[in-house]
Amino acid sequence: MSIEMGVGVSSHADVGTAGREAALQALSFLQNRPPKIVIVFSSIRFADPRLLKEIRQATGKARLIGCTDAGGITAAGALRRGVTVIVLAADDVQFIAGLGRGVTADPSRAGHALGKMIGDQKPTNAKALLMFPDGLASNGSAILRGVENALGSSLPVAGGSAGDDFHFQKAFQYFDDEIVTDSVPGFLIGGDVSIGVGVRHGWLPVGSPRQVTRAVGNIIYELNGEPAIRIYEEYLGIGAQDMRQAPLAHLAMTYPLGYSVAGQSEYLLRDALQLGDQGSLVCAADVAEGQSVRLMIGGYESALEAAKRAAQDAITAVGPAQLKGTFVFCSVARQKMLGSEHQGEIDVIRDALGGSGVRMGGFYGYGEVAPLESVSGSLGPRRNHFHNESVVIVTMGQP
Amino acid sequence: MKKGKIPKTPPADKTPELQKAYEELDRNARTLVRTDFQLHRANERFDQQISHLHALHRIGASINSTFDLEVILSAISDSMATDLDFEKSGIVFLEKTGQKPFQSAYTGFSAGEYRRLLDRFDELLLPALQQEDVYLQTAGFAPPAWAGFLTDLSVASLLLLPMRIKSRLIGFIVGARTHVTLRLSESERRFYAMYAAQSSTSIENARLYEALGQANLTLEEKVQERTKNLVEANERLRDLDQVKSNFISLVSHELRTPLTAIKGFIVTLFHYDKEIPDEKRHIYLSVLNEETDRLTRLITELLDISRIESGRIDIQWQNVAMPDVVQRVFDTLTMKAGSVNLVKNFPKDFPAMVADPDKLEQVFMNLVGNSLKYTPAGKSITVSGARHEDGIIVEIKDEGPGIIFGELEKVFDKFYRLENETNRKNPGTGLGLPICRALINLHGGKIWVESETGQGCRFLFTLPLNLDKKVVASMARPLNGFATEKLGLT
Repeated sequence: MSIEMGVGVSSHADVGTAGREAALQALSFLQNRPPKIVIVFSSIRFADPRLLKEIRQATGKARLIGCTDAGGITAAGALRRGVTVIVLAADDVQFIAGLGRGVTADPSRAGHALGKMIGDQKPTNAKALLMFPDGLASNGSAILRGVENALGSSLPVAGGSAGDDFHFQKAFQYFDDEIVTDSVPGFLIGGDVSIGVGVRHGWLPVGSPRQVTRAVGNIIYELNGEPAIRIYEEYLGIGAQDMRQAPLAHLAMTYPLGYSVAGQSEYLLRDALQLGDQGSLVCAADVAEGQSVRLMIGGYESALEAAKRAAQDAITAVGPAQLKGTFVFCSVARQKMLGSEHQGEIDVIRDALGGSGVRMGGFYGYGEVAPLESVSGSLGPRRNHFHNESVVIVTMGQP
Repeated sequence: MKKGKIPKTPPADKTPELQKAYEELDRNARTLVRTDFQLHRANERFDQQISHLHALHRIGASINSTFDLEVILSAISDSMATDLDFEKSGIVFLEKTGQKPFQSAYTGFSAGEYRRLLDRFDELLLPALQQEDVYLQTAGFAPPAWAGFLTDLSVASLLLLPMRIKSRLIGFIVGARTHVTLRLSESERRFYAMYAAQSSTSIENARLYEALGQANLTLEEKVQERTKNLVEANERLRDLDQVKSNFISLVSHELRTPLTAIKGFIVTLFHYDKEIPDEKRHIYLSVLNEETDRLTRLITELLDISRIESGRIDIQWQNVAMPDVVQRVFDTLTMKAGSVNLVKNFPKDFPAMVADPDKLEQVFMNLVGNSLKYTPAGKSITVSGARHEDGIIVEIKDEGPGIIFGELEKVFDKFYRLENETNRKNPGTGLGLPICRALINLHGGKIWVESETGQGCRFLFTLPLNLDKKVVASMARPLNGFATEKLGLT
């Protein structure tokens, strides 16, 4: 039998009840088939052992992975302050879960640990990996390198970074009964299934280009020979006062830095998460020295158009008739930039995928992971990338 | 969108105009970004305010749809979780003094954590509630006492919102974030103050409604009680009317008997004066004399009993030595007693008491006088006293024929007279014992009779010591349904 995806949500006041409600709602789509994997995304309020206990009680022995978010996504729209439970049943498809710990101290090693744990379970016919790394102060591209070292760079990797409802304090990851932080859970999809991925943002460059004159890993020290923070002081007009009141990520979130990547129509975006030493910017992923970067600005129309294109890219790889389920990983910056219009973006995605009957689940996070061309294209090395301000759409199809 | 290499600086061959335009464009870009930035911040504030208003609206809609305090409390506690993200929340309603938790609901806290929270009410919570309208403590910034408290509750932030009605603290809302260290903007503080005010109003409304309901219920109960009282009073009035009619017919009968005798003798004397021998005339006149005396006694006693029963009698409260009263009665009756021994038997420590000596004398005159009628010559009548419970007990014992069991209680009925030789020879008024009972009752005591046929009679009465005199008057009991108390329409 083919893949069946079930999605349930709840925002009940009681954490345990919410878990049970969402799980039972998700299970009702499976028509009594047991789930092979359970994926949970929740607002920070639900990061409580009682949530996982109730969900696992309902879903049985299946592996559970997931993370906290900044909002859930289903075909019905965006959900603030709730739990989203996704269950997958399938006969000829494998879902192999793993967990890597310690992403802040050694992101690459944590990524490798995740990849190794999955590799040790001997996946066959691997099609894609979905991962949900801690999105706070960790280097997303380093995690990705670690995963690629373990599983090979030809495997498409997609996913979203855990969030914490826009507080930028502490995010959590879920693995079976465990609530962890500073970790990266993920699962591999293998077997008789086709995977499509689309990733877009719709942000546009603004102002003059600057050169990265000094950078180490994900920390930019200097732009055009000046402390990197100057670019935000000059363009946003924010000073030390603003930065004391709110985290830089909060202020700069919708204005990332962008650099162009060969063969790509869109710039690759990097959020400045924290203000580092000597006016440096700690970014969500690597920025190479010598790179020319520009400040990026988001706009309603281009953002919604990007979402539609991402959905179309993902569905093209699979074919609408074969679509069994969709994951959506959306940047919280899009939610912020679009404001009350952010529901509209979910509508655009759903409609591009085929309308109201679409099975769809995901979350708003602090970063996105996706390969930079549609999966159906040629397999080149190093095609997986870490993104910001983007929407990643992953489709699963079966004939 | 341009692709490929972007030069670090404009090419040297660019004309100065191009260079200028390039710089202008960058300046424009800054203006554009700043405007966009400010717009987004404003938008974010709007969104936050809308979400706050939404939370207020939701809480308003859910708690204003009921007046059930418990439902309101748990709706507020739940709203703290679902609308405002608090992992642990509670609402506590204080008792009237505002010093002690009274009723509460909570969400997310374990029972142990919630108990530990309330345990620190006096020490930490109450001072905080009196201090600020929105009180926030967060781990890392809290003073030692609070830091320990936060750790104890496993939370990173604790928010306290006092609920006030006209500046009186009626309760508080507590919200705790497990992982998040909260920082509140001015607008968030305003929102939380409004949230607490909204909650206070709903709670107050519910309480007023409950109080109103209670008042309605009380009112209804009062109306029912009054109605019942009225019905009872009406019934009592009807009974009284019946009793009065009975009494009048009884009294008429009692008055008629001596009057008939008197009339008979007077008519005889009037018509046959000349024919009646002196000897007989003397007998007639002495019968007339006795019947007139009896009539007078009857009327006096009727007046007495009517005064007692209508509450018009004055009791002259004085310190009384009971043995002295008995002695005076014995002295008065010595002649009448003849060879019957009058014995007084009071212990030395018999207490003095507060009573009306004249009324007591009247009681003893009646009781001893009564006993004299039945006690054969050479026998004794003994009056003895003793301490009894809260007061005293007095016994008047004779060695007469006694009273059969079935008649014992009837002797206190008005106009009841035992059917015997003595009474036929020397009819009384039938009011002596009822008067005794009324007087003893007026003193807060009880009177009864014990007897066995052939064993003599023992009249006993008790009197309390240290009696509240006002109470006594209201305790005056009606005699055989002849009510003295006022109707209970208060």
